[in-house]
Amino acid sequence: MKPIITAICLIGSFSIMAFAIWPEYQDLRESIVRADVEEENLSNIINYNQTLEGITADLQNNYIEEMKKMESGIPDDHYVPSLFAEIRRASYRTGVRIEGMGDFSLNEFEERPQLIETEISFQVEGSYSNFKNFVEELKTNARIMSIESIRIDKRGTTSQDLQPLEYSVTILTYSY
Amino acid sequence: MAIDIKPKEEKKYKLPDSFNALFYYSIVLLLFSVSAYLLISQWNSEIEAQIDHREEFVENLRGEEEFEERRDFVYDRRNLMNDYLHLYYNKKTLNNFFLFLEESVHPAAHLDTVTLDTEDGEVSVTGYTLDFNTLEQQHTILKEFSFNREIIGWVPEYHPSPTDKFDYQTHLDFVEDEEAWSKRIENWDEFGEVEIFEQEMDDGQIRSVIFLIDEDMDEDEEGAYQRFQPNVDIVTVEDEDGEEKERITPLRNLVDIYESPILGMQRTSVDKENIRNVDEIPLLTVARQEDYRTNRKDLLDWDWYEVLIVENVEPIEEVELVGVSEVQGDFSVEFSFQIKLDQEIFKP
Repeated sequence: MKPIITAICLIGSFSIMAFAIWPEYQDLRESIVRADVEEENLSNIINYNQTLEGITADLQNNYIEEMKKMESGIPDDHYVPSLFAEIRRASYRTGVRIEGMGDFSLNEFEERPQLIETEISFQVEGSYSNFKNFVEELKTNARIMSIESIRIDKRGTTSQDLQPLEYSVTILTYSY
Repeated sequence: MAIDIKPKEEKKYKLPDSFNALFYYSIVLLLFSVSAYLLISQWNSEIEAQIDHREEFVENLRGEEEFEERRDFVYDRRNLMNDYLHLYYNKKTLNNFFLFLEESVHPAAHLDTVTLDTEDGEVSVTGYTLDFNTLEQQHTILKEFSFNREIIGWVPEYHPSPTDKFDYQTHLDFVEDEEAWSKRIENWDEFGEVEIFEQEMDDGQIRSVIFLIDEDMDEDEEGAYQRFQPNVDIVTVEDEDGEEKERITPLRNLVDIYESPILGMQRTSVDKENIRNVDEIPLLTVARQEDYRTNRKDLLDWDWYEVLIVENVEPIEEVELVGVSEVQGDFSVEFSFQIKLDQEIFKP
């Protein structure tokens, strides 16, 4: 009887080792690796969350002005009349006169597709120094404006004519 | 005589003595195998449960509305900053163009029209002079026109001592800052000394040193520096009428944001677009090259400096006199120039 039992035990033992313990051991190793990865993920997500909290608080408390300025620089809407109004205000402040508002067009900004590029043309008249101030005013405007082109025309036919100069300006602004 | 015949005894097979040991060993081995299997299974189950728990925790955290809002907010702000910086540093300004216009026109020449296309840098100028000699001089002025451009930028902070030499080659990254520069230029006259300037902050650190580099600096000279006050945190200023005027936030603040851990980097890609490699600026590469190796480590480890650089810009790529006509009566010569400008002129 003993030999039979011994044989069964040995065969059973090796079978368990080969078909149960070894696959289970492989699973265990995989699980340990996965557990390490998950541990790292967990740690990362917790750190990430804490960092997000810190950044959010920082942005909301310490960088309010800066954020407002950037929002003004690239407003959410591309409402053209408000842009005209800003140009008109700049002209009032600098002593040039708006002669006419020309065409405008809205295009996707190629370099940053999330932005809409507004091209707007207009004509002003005034002295050269006032026009320089006007351009400077556009440059320092909260809304980002880039000069695309200008044309300066003398009105009179001789140098004795002291009439103001005429300017055609095309600018680009951006919005979301 | 009767013979008693006995049957032959059968030979009994006897197991060796060591078989008992094998018998018990096999039983122990079986028990051990079963136990090991159960143990490993149990261990595996516990780890799987732990993994599930962690995954669930991460999923829950990610799914939290507050977390998503916070993340969206930060990414939204980051995108806004990236877009803003990109546009801010790529917008075309005409300060230098007006300078060009004022300084390149002959006093005796009269302009009728000036047409500028900033995208292509093409300028068309028409006008008249009273003689051909003036026209020739006007043409020469345009061909030779150049101007000094000042740039302010950020470089790794360095703590100079009287014996140290500052090494421009270690500036590595160079960020231009129009607003910071324009503020300093207002206070230009307040500073006259030519030296390296240190400012000790309340925390004992020496920060924010600005140098003006003489454009005439020779390779063998120490070079000339001019110092400026470094504070640029100006949000609003009053204009001549006493009205408050908004100014764009100085870059310093934005850089601080970019150094935040969430972005995982000190600079964004947009920032990099505005970085000038000092190798591109000849004034910086000639004088200090030999000190590079000595000071490199310190410079890389520390914070940022502000540096003001004056460079000579020759913005005109081409000048072509495309038309000349003589007007009778009141004698005059009408001219038309086509000028190709370098995009450098549209930078602040």
